Amino acid sequence: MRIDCIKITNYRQYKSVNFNFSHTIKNDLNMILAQNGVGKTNFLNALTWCLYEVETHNSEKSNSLPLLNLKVIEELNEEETATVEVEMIFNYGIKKITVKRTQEFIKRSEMTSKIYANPSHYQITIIDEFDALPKQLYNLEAKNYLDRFLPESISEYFFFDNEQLDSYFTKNKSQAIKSAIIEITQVKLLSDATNHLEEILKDYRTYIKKSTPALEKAHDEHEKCIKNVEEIENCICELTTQIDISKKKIEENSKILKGTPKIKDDEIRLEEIKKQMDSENNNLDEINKDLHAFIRKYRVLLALYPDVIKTLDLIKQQEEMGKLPIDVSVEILEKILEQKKCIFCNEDLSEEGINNINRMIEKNRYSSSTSTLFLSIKSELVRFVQDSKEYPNTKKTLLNRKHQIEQRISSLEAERKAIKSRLASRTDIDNLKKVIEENDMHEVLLRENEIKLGIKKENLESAKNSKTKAAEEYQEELKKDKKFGEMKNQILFAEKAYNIMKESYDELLDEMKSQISSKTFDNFTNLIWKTNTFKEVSIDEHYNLDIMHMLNYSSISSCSAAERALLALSFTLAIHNVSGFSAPLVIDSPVGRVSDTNRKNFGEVLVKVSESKQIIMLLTPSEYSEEVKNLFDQVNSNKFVLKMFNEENTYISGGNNCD
Amino acid sequence: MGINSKITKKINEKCEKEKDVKALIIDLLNFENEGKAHYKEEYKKMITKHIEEIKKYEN
Repeated sequence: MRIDCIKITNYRQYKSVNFNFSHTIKNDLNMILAQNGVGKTNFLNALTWCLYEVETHNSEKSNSLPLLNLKVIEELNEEETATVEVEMIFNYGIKKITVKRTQEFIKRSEMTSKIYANPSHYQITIIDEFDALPKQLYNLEAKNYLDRFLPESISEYFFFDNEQLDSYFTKNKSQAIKSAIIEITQVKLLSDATNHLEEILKDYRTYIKKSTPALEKAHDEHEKCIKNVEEIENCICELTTQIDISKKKIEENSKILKGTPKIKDDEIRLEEIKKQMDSENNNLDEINKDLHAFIRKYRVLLALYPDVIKTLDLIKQQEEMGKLPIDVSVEILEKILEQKKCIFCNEDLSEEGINNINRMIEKNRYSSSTSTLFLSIKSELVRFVQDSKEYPNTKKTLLNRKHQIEQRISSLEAERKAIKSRLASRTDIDNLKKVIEENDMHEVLLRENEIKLGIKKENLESAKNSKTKAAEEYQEELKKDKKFGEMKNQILFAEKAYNIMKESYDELLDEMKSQISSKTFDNFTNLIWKTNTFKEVSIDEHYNLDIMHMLNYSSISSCSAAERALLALSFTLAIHNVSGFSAPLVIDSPVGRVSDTNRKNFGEVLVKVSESKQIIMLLTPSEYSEEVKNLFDQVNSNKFVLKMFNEENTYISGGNNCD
Repeated sequence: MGINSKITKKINEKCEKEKDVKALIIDLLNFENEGKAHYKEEYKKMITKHIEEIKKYEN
């Protein structure tokens, strides 16, 4: 299939242009050259608007401008109408298919240039070599017809711009990649047929299920198993989507949070610091109290110290002169005398011992009150002196403890200030907190969903086994049944077809996936200059595409923008090649991010592809560099140069008109 | 657009031993490819038609 002609009338800056893509030489390579701002992207938008009534490559500026050409609006009188029209003529084997979308606008007020749009009108005309009359399809019927050869769901794989190429392989794109493979390779036909056949079988089985109790039981069990498998498959699909969404969010949020301080950790740390500071401040209060008590105690001790020393010296002198009474109880001495026996060692007292004890009693009885007083205060004074000697050590210990506490407080305060300063420097702190919360939530969801997915997959295996067994038992019962012979045959026949299509679907999908990843890698190595860096392209069971380094590392995230763009193109070419999908490729700014050697490789690959597929490229003059020019000028079928008149209208400076 | 040759090749492979069902599968796939409506009616007709053809062949 190829595009023969595109006619654009009154669409944005295109007042009236016709592109005729004639094809007379080997290569079907077509170029449209235009400076930035002249209308390359709106050319793509015109095509998607015509086919699907969407402008997928719009900038914000375009969104605010009306679809109708501004010059045309200006020239309209009040209540006058003008029509936007885009027409594409496809050549599809023996068929010529014209797709046309028109939309009428009416100018309500000349003063404000306000215009109103009527709903667009969509029409497909099919001219078949073997049919006498052309066939006309409108609106929904036309849309369904178009969907068979240019499905909107995969339009990015045949109409795309370089700006979107490098987002092809973000994690959330896996479902899109799976859908693309299923649609483009037509494997979807098998799944549609299988699903429809399943509905028919359900109807048949329900009709005959009440024939015998055993058949009814087998039927119900079989239906239950089918439903169980469906539910698990739906759940797996839903979980996979949720996982993709979480991965996308985490990736987006990580870009926002990259390099920012961990706000939540800082806030938790601030709380901890506050508690520690409260505790240390309490410790400081305690140590200060201890210090005050110490000062009070030693103020007295140190003041009295000289006099205490003098008194102790006096007591020692008295003691040495024997003037102090013996430091022993008189009652004990009298008891010993009475028993004439030592109460400590139990020895009998000698004559001398008795005399000594009598002398001690006499001495104590007749000593002075001063001497007695000296004796009684001696131990206190000794303790007083010992305490005083402790002064330097005790003081040092207390002061050290206080110093340590103060240091800890100071360190905590410094940390607190640093964190507060860091947090205060972020003016978007509330927004960051929301992003962190959202990220945390998605991290949790991702883990939970991955676990659930694993469980569901195991459950699916078991459910499928149960379903197979139930199907076999149902078939057994069916064969035994005497009634409904005809319908029974239909069920058995349809089930055979169902099983074959189901198996074929699974096997084909795996084979296509494997071929596409292999072909993508071949294309990629032809496009880039690095020959010894990458090992293979892989598409995993979830349809996430990756490119593996020679040393088996995943490289997709570390590829440059140009490499990702080339990978996206390689993938697209691979899908087209493996599936035999015959749609043209329209590429906006194909070499925008690609430099020098890569441009030459790129050009060579496209020249090769154009031998079997129509390629339409939109390039700026700077992209149309010497190496690209030398390559393309030799083989291109058509080259159009777009220019702008009065910054309002885009026209073709060279090219043919459509018939 | 016709059916991808890879699909028809796979169906041929799978129906090597089940030739009677192959024609039905091809018809079903063509029906899906044409994007027609009212599949239930058409599917039942196709199933019946192919069973009749098999019976005729066997007779």
